[in-house]
Amino acid sequence: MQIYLPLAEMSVQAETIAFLGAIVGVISGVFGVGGGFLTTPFLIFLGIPPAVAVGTQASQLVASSTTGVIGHWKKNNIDFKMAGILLIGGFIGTTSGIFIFKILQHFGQVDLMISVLYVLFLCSIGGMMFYESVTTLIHSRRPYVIDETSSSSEQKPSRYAILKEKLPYKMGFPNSKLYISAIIPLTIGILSGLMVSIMGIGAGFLIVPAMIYLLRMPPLLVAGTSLVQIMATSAIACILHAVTNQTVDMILALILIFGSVIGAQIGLRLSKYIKGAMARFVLASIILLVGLRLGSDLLIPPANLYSVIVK
Amino acid sequence: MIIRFVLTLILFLIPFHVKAELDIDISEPMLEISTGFNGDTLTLFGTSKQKGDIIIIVKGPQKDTTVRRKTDVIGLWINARSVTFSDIPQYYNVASSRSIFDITDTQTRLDNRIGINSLVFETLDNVSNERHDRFQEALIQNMQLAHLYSLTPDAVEYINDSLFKTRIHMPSNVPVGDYEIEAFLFKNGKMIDRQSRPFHVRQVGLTASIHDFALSQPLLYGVIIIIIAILSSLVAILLLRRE
Repeated sequence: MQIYLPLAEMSVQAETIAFLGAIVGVISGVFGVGGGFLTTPFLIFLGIPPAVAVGTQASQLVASSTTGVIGHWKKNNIDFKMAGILLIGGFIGTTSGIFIFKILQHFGQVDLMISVLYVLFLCSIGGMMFYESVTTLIHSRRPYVIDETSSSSEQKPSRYAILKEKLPYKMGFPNSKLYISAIIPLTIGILSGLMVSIMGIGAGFLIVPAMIYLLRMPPLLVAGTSLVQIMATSAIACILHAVTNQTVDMILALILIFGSVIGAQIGLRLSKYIKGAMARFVLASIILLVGLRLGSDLLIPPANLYSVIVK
Repeated sequence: MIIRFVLTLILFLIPFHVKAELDIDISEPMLEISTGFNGDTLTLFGTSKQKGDIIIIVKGPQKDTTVRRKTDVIGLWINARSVTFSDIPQYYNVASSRSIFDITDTQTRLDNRIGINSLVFETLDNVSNERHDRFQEALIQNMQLAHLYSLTPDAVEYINDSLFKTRIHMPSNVPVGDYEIEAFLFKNGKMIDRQSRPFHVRQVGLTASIHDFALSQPLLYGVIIIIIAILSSLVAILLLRRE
């Protein structure tokens, strides 16, 4: 069924958009990432103006993350204290990111820097997670090895672990059963906020691996807690896009939301079966694929060198 | 559902119009875009006093348009150069009874702005002629790929000695705004007459209401979308809840 989008000023096939929304919803429900990294490029691929794609997908992130937040909340899988600190950092990062972006524009080649950073970031996070999850998966098949490796790694604390101990402003996070310096989650929040405003991608990507590897949060709490942060930042981003650029298309948003709330329900049920290393393995594969796909755009000579922008 | 929109150009055979060789009028000068819009085909009818070569140009709203070119920078393909052209029509359709290059010579086409290459591609950017032409060519090619520019010879058909018709396709991404329809009558390479009429592409109904709301009350509009997003996920949770 073709539906006309009033702000994108074009028509799209509603089923395709709803299906895309559902897939992103499933991913968001299972892994606790926003999924904006999938929606935006796909909408642009369908011919929707990039500005509208970016503005509108924020509304979908609100929907898919709300489903996740409520689902995890009921199971008490959210560390609200941690989420709050991440959000404060997120605000600091987002606002300062806008200024940094303007400074970078003065030096030119912002486009190049952003695309290279984006690809490097996706590939390194994806690669790290991929390696870690694969080794864990292999080890878990051989139960004898698992005790040896875990005990030996605990004996030799890494430099990061030492730094983590030394940092001031320690704070208790009862839900996560952690007692760590507030500076760590705050820094993660700031970095994710910087990424949102400079690269225009969601925070989930940085926050989920950081929670797993840097904060060492219980895996069960990671998805729910990151979704709280994603929900709040997306809602603000969506309203900002609507007010400053008028690039949020309500019809497109409704179709995406419809797909993603259903997808998120499926994802929440699936998350019971896809757990731990297997979940990280799947997410790492998706991140790596997107990273490699975007990287190939940079490296392979494009068929059409020219693009047209109106305004 | 495809809404068939029929636009009629009528020659009024009333006494004081006798002098005009080609006289056109439009019965419904408006293409209405509503929620189900997926492109449309306009059927245009017209009459000429004598049979000749007909060229019909439908020209869309004009906007500043930037063309960017990707360049290989240390092995990476990124947008490097760009040229911004002023007042470029966002839709340009030429339908004619035979190839416009056969109907009349280049000078006449330039003088009367017939054909996309006879339009003025002005830019405020400081670029060489060679680059200007390359970017202009790229702009035209990209617009053709988007089905927004087209040139169709043999699109205008005479039904009898004076009545002719043509079909003009408006794709689903047809720009909203004010259009102009121009009709030319040529005979042996000489222009006998020309007529032009305004034409409009507008959003109507729900589509138009949403568009206006987004522009007039952006904050409320954004907040409502967020509320819808949260509410719909709550509804989905309630509906799909497992017992």
